[in-house]
Amino acid sequence: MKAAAELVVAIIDDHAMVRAGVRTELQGRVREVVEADGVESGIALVRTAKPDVVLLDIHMPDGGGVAVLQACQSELARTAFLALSVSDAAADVIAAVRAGARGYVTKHISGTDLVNAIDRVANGDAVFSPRLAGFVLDAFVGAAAEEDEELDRLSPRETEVMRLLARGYTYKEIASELFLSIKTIETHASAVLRKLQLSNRRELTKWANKRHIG
Amino acid sequence: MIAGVCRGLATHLGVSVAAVRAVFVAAAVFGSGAGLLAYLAFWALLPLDPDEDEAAPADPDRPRWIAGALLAGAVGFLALIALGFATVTPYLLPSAIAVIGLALVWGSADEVQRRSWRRDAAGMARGAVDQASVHGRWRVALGAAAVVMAIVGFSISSVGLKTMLQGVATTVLLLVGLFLVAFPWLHERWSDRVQQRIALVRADERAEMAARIHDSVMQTLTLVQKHADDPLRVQQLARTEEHALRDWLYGDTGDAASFSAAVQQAANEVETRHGISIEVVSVGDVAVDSRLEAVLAAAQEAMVNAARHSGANAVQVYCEVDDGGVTVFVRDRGCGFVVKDVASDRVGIRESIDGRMQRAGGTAVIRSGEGEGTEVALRLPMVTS
Repeated sequence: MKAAAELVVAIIDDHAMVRAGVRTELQGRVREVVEADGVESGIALVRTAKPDVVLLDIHMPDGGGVAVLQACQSELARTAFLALSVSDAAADVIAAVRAGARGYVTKHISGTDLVNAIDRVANGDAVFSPRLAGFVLDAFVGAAAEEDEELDRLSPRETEVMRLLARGYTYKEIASELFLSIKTIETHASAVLRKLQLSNRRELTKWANKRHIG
Repeated sequence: MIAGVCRGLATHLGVSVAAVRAVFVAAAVFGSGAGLLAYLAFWALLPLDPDEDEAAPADPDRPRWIAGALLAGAVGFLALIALGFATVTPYLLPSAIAVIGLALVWGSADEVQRRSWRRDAAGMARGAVDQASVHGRWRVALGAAAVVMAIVGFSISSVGLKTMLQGVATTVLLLVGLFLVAFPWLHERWSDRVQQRIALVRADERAEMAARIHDSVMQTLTLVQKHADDPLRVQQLARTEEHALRDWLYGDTGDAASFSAAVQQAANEVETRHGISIEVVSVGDVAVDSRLEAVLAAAQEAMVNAARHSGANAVQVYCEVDDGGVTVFVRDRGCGFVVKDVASDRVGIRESIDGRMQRAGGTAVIRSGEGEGTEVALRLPMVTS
């Protein structure tokens, strides 16, 4: 387990302004920040710099974040991807998560929250923005009763965790609210992320096409 | 002179009125009355001046007039023949049919063309072939058939069937040859036209985009420069602009009658008025009724309280609609307060939030502590009616 200060973080975003902003936020809080300004240079950066965490813009020319993720499937074991965006069609965000991103945060996120999120994905946990949690609830809980597959529905505890995340609670606050350890909450969140990545529920696409996350 | 047919035709063809009149008179005298018949046909079938047409509603009695005039013309003409003033020549019938056919085609061609121009201007509502234009096409087809019939009849009566068929074959070959020769040019013209249309549509879109950017983004940037020393005002401007752009880009924030859209709208209002950032997450949706209006009002009041008293710069709103009812959470991470210390006569909480929810048949629970922020939970069970 690495502390945030030991992490190498890559920013892949085609907007120089965003890269500069995120770099400023992270400066001094992580070991090193590296940058790439597009899909191709991003893939090369992931392979050469071997960052611990990649902050990945969803919308870029030449295929966007999903293209980077698809090219970096063999890197997923050592590099965690965190999707970072302003306002995207849910379909794109879900595509990024299903391609291997361990979470999604908006560019409005505060520096401290961003560092926490980076720390979390670096340690193999999932990061849900309130909107992504709301999306999961909408997509999974709506017609849960008729689903048999374990992958296709949330357990009552997972639903509770998602609901609190959607209300804007931190993992720590959720832990004290539910009288559970933070580690347990992280386990629940990771399980939900896995379902989001692997479930074949058609509601996922249906909802994703209708909504905007972020 | 009589019904303005000559003048109209002259304007249409771009020749002098006198020339057209001369042709008609000549046709009337030497063509055994064909000119007269043609005049009547033109008068009946040609459309009125387009400007006049559009300014005044068409005379509803016109068709009856036309029928009457045609009948009168035919009777008069028969009388002339019977009296020996005019003779039936083999050319009379074909020329009369040809003239009527031409009148039909010319009249309709204009109409169809005008309609297609109008359609182009209105953004090419392709596929929307309206009743009138179908009608116009039938008229063209009918007219063309009449002209062809007239020519065939004329040819058969003058040169015989065999020669006529040979002539037709030669003509068809000639036309095919001409078409093949002209094909590249025709094709180019056609694709040019398509290109032009696409360019036109693109230009329209670009113009709309430019207008939008000018109206909103440019104005806002100007205001931002002006208020550069007032961060709150700048934040407020940026937020308002963000809402406007999102609405425009993603459009369907749902109709205002849906609960989640109404909560979002309430949040936008508070954001704009109080310069605070509010994120709304909603799960499920329902149409707004009078009880939900109360929940909306209470939720908005909770957002306003958070904006005014908490000192936090962000508020998180979560609303969930399921079979059990509607739940709204309004949470801030501000200074918080000790709930029981708040004087019970504070209208803000007691009336605007608690009272409203109770009257609607729901509950309001406020959780707060100094330094812990505040969360207002509003619940309204569904009534099964």
